[in-house]
Amino acid sequence: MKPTRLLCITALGLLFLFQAGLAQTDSTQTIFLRKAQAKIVAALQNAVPVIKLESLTAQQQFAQDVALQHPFFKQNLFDKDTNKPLRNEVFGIYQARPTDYRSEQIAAACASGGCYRVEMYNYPLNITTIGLVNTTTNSMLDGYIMNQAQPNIPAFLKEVALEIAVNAPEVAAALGFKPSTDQALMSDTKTALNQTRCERSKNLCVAPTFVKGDRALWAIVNLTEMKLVGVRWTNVGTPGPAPQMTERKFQNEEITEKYCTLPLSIERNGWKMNYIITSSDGLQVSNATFKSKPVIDSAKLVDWHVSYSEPEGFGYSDAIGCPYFSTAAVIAIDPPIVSDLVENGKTIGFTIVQDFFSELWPQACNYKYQQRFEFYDDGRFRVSAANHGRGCGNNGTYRPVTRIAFPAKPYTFSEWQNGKWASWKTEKWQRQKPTTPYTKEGYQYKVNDAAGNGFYIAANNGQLYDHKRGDNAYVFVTKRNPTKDEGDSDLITIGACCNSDHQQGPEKFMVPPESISKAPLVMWYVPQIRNDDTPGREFCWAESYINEQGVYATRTYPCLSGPMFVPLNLKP
Amino acid sequence: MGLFFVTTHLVFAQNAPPMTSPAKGQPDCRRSPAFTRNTQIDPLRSAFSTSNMQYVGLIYTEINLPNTPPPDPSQKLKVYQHPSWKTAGYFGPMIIDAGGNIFLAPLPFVNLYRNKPSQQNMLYRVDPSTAALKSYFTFPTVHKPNEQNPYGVLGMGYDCESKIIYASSVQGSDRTNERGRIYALKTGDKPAILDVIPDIDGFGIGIFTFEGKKRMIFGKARTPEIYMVELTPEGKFAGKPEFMLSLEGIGARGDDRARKIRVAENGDLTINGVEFYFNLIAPSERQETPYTFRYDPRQKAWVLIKIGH
Repeated sequence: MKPTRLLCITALGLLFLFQAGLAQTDSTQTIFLRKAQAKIVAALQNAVPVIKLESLTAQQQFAQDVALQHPFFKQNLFDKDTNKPLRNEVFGIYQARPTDYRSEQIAAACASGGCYRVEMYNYPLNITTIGLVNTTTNSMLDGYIMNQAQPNIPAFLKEVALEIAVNAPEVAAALGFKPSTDQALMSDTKTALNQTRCERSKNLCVAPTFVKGDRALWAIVNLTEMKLVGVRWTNVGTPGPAPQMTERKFQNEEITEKYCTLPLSIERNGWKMNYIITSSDGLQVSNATFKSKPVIDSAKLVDWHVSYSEPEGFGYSDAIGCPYFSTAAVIAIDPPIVSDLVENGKTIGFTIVQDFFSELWPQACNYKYQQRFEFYDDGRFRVSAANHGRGCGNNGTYRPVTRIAFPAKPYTFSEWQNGKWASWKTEKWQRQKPTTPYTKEGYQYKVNDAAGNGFYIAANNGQLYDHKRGDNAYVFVTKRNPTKDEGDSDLITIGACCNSDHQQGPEKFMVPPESISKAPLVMWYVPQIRNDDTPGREFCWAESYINEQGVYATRTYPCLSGPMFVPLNLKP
Repeated sequence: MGLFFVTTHLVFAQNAPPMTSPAKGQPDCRRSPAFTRNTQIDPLRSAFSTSNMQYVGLIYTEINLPNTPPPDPSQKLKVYQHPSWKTAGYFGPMIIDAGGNIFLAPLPFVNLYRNKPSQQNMLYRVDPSTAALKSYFTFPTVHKPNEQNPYGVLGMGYDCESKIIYASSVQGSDRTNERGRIYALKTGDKPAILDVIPDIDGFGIGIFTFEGKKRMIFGKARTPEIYMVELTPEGKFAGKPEFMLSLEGIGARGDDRARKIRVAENGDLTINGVEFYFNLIAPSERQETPYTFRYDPRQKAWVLIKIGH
C-alpha cells in the first residue's frame, strides 16, 4: 500500500504536506478499482449526484427512481456551504416487510404489496436515508434519516472490498500466498465479509476475513477511501462474543507492537540511530551518530503547551505518544515515515516524520501534531515540530517543548554576543528577541566539546527552507546529571498550558542553577507560534473540504519550528 | 437487510423481556450535605460535578432541568467551589452517602500536571458540614504506577445498607500485566479494607440484588465485559466473578468500557459506556453512551433494551 500522505520538498525548497482523504490512485490499483472510482466521479456530475443501484427488477428500478426524485432523498446530496456534490449511493432496495411500517396508515397502504424500502448511504456525513416507496401509487409513504448508521453494502461494493483485499500485498504476506477473488471463496480459505468499524475516520469499512486453521485474517477495507486499512489475525473458536477487528484496534495494536515496544534502528547516509514512540514524549531519536561520531544521545518532544488569549488562561498541555497504555493525550495512529530529503531534485539526506492525532481532528478543539527530524548528508540536522491545527480558536499560541540531550561528555555552550562567542557558565534560559544578534551565517548558539567537535545552532527566523515565520523561541540549557533523572526517561507533564513567559517546565531543572562549564548538557527548545486563520495566510491551521470523490478531505497549513544544527568540526 | 450500527432503541424494545426481574437495585440513599444550605443555590436545581472542564476539581452548581425553563435565562448558572476542592486536581468517580459525605477519587484529565500518578490511588472526603476536602483513605501501592498507566482508582460503587465503598484501582497495571484490584472499604471514622479481589482491572461498579443475593457488578477496564460477584452479609466477596454480558459490538463505538453502572429498583441495568484505552485522550465531544439491559429469565441472559437516554 502506498501511503496517502504525500510529502515533498520542491526545487524552491518549499514544504508541502498534504493529508489526503482521496482514494488510491497509484499504479498498484486494478482496472476494476479504477473503473469503480470513475463510476463515482461520473455519478457526481449528474443533476441528482447519486450512484444508483444496478441489476434491479423493474419494480425496484421504479422505487429507486421515485425515491431519488423525492425532496426527502435530495436534502443531503450537496454540501450546504459550497454546493459541491456529496457522495451518495443507493445500497439496497427491498420489498417492504411489516417491520418497515411505522404506522397503521402505512401498513394499510402497503397491504396489497408494491411497497419497497430504499436505503441510501451518504459517505461524507456517514448517514443513511431510508424511504418507503409505494410503486403502485408512485409515491413515497415514509422517510427517515439515521445518523452514524451504515446499511448493508450491495454486491458491487462487496466485489470492491474483495478486490482491494486480495490485491493487497499485506494480505498475501500474511496468508503466504496471493489469493484470487475466486480462491477467496473456496472452502479451504473460507471467507466472510465481516462487519467492522472505522471509528476514527468515520468511514464505511468492511472486513473480508480469511479463515486459516484456527485463526482468521481480518483485512479491514475502507470503502470510502477504497483502500486497505490493515490486516490482523484473530483466534477463532474462543468462548464469548467474537471480538471484532476494527480500524482503531488495528491501529492501536500495530503501532504499539511495532513502534512502542522496542527501538528501531536506521543506518543511512552516514547516519546511524534508534527511534521509538514513547509513552508521552513523542518519537524519540536516540544514540544518533554521524560518520561514527556521537551527535545526540536523545531528542524528543516532551509537551505541547497550547494557550488561547480568549478566555485568558484557557488551553491544554498535551503529551504525544503511543496510542494505548500511555500517558499521551494526542496519539500516534500511523507509523513513522522515513523519506528522502530532496532539494533541487537531489537527495541531500533523509527525514523521520511522526504524526499524532486527536480522535476527531480536524474538528474544533482537536489537534494534529508532527515531529520531523531531518538528517543531512553533510552532517547538519534539524529537530522540528509542527502543528496542523485546528485547535479551539484562531487566537492560539503553540509552545512545543523539545528536549535534546547531547552525548554524555563535557560541552561548552556559547551564544553569539558582541561579535564573538560568549560561553554560558551556569544553567540558564534565554528568549529570542528581535534584537538578538546572529553570526553572518545566522548562528545564534554554539555547542562544542574540548576537541572542538560540535554544532552551530541556527535559529529559525524564517530563513530556513520552509519559509516559516520564525520561532520566537526560549532556549534552556541544563546540566545533564547522571544521578538525577531530569528527563532521560519518559517525562510526565512538566508545564502548564498557558504560561506566556519562560515557565514552560525546563526552568524547574535549574533551581538552583548549576555550573554548565564543560559539563554534559541538555538543550530545551520552546518556540512560540501563533496560529492564523486569515485566508491566504493560514498558519497552524486545518480545514475540511469536499474533494472530487465527494467526501471530506483535509487541507492543512502546518507551522514548522525548530533550529538547524550545523557541524563545526567533523574531525574525529 | 437491516443496519449495521443501529442507534435507536426501537429494534430492541420489540423483544424486551417481561418487567418481572430477579434483579433489584437499591433505593437511593444520598442526602444533600448540610453546607449546601449556605451556598444560595436552589437545592432542587443543583448538582455536584467533577466534569465541568472550566473548573479544576469539584463544583456545586446550579443546573437547568430537562423540559423546565430556567427561572431567569439571562442569569449565568451559579457555581460554588470551596477553595479546597481544587487542590487535588481533577476528580472522577464520586459517591454521596446518607450522611451527606462526598467521597471522591482523583482522575487525570488530558495531562498529569495536576494529577501526579503517585497520588491517584486514594479517596478524598468532603465534610458535609464544613465543605472542606481532605484525603480520606489511601489504598496500598502493591505495584507502582508506571509510564504506561497513570491511573489509580477508576470506579466506585456504594452499598447503602452496609456503608461499604467498592472501589476499583488499576494502579501498576501495564500493557501485559493486569494488576488492578477491587477493594471493599468499610467507611466511617476509621476506614478499613474488608476484602480485595486481586489482579483485575475494574472500572465502573454497582451494587444490586440478583436472585435474592446481594452482588457487586463491575465493568472491566481492558475489555467491554461486565462481571458480577456475590457478596457475603458482611460485604466481603464470595466466590469468583461471573461473566454477565459484553458491550462488544454494541453502540456507536463497539467496544466501550463501563464507566458507570446503575441498577434501577425494577432491575433494569444501565451501563454508561465510554472509550477507554489507558491513555489521556479527551475527545472534545463527550463520547459516552448509556446502555440499558433487562434480565430475561427465559433466555437466562441480559437483553439490551435501550441505547441512549
